[in-house]
Amino acid sequence: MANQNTQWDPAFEQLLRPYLDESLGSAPLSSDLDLRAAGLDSLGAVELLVGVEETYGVHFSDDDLTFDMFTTPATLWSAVAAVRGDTA
Amino acid sequence: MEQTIDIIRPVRPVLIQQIAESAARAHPDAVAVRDRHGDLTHAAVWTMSGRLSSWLRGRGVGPGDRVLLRLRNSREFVLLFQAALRVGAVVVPTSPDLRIAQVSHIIRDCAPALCVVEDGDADWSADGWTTVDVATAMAQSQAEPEPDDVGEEPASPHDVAFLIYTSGSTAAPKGVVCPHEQVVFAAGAIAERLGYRETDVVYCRLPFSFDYGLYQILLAGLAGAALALPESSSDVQVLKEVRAAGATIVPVVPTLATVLAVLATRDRRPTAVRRFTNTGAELTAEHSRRLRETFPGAEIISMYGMTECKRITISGPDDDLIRPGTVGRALTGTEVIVIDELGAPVAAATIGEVVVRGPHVMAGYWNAPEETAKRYRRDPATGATELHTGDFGWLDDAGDLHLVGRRDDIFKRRGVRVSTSEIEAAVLAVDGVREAAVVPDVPGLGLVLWYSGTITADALRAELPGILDAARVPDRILCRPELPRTAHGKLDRRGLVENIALTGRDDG
Repeated sequence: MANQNTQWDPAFEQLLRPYLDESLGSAPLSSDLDLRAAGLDSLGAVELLVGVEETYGVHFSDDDLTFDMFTTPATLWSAVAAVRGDTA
Repeated sequence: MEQTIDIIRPVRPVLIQQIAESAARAHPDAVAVRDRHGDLTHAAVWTMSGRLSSWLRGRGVGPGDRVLLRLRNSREFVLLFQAALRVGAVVVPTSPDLRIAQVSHIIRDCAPALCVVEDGDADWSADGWTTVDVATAMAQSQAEPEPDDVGEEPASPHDVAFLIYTSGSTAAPKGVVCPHEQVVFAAGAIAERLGYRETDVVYCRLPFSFDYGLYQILLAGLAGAALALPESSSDVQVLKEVRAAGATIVPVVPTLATVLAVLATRDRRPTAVRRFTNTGAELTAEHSRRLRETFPGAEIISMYGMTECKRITISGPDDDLIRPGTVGRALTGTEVIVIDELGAPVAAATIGEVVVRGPHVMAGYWNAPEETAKRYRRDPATGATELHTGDFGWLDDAGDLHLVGRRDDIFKRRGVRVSTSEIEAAVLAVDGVREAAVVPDVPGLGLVLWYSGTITADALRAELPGILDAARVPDRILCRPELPRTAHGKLDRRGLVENIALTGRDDG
């Protein structure tokens, strides 16, 4: 029930927004927002991957790259957390 | 014994399926298809598609019947494609990305005897058309015998092999009629320029529902090369797949080229890629530079074509470095001319409409004589059929073609050919929309939809993904009390764009 926005830092949302529809406005992104439906296309996903790696100083190996990591902000954030070695 | 039979068979394929048949004979154990399930040899493709052709016959599919394949690039598609050709049927490949409304139009237009779809294609509504999921097709065909050659349908090279639906100036796409003869000619002429080798692995991420992707099956077959198919629909894994498959050739469109360059910048491990081909939209100097930087040693071949004749020009490897902007030269045995408004050929370096003649010009649009007559015209002097592409360009003094753009409502978006008329037609079908005008490539905004009506922009935005695939959904939706008209009563699209350019925002 509680919005899980507090799980990620502001930098994360700032990274995501440029790839999503402007019509989303400035309200906080919900953790289960369908990113593809919200405007994230394939080039956007790839650029976002690079942005996430640079911002958080992580690197996704081939095995870490899963097809569903860009489904929602929550799935992307947990992929980042996993690579950072954060505990759940 | 075998040798005697070989002498009777034609050396050059006359029917499309003979390409796969020859590959099965010449390179039986070489890999034909590579995917996440493993490798399938050319011999196995021929055997398995033979069983599927028996299965199709058992389902009542006969010569001339349409078989619609709504499938991802997969080994099953390749097998069903060959099987349908072997029973003399007409293949209609469609993308699983198309929405039901879009596919329904194609189905009503071509009236297929059978549709084969992905397992659990949840949004599929057969609506009275015979539909089978691909797992059922494969399972049932296991029990079928391999047909002997006597069982193969005799077919004429003039028979239709497939229909490729493509956008035009009408409210919905039309099917380009592709007979065996034209397809075999085109595949051979393209193969001559691209130089695929038996040792090549062609990574085909371009959908089989486009001729660019579909013909990779034929080009790989002609060379005895392997076709590597995508595992995932996510582009994030593209480079991983290219490397895992050992891909040596990667056909691209500019969006895919950019994705590869970005991925290869963060992962600099070498790949086996020796060559890229590009068509569909221009690979800019910047695209090419990034691709060469991230794939050192790989050559780039620039091409131009149109579904209506498959391919028009192909350049030599890396010709863009010596002749920037070139899309190459006409295929051997074909002609490209540039004409003025009166239809007369223009001098070199003069812009005009690109017109094509040759054995690759396809047989018009399915059930659409008016649209066919507009594009496929008879040259009064020679009686030859020529294709009026609607693309504008110029020939340089070396005979290379350069393109400058179109003047109608067809444009490319994310590698897909779309038209403003089909997007407008789809939007007008939404309840609460009164008028609609779509303009591509509006500076700073992209594909923009202006509309008037009672529905809110947010509600309209929510409706569109249900009726249009991603390539056709506008980037911006702007509502107006009414849309401006020209003196002739037509929608004033230029005025809409200029208003934004002048004011920096959209207002009355």
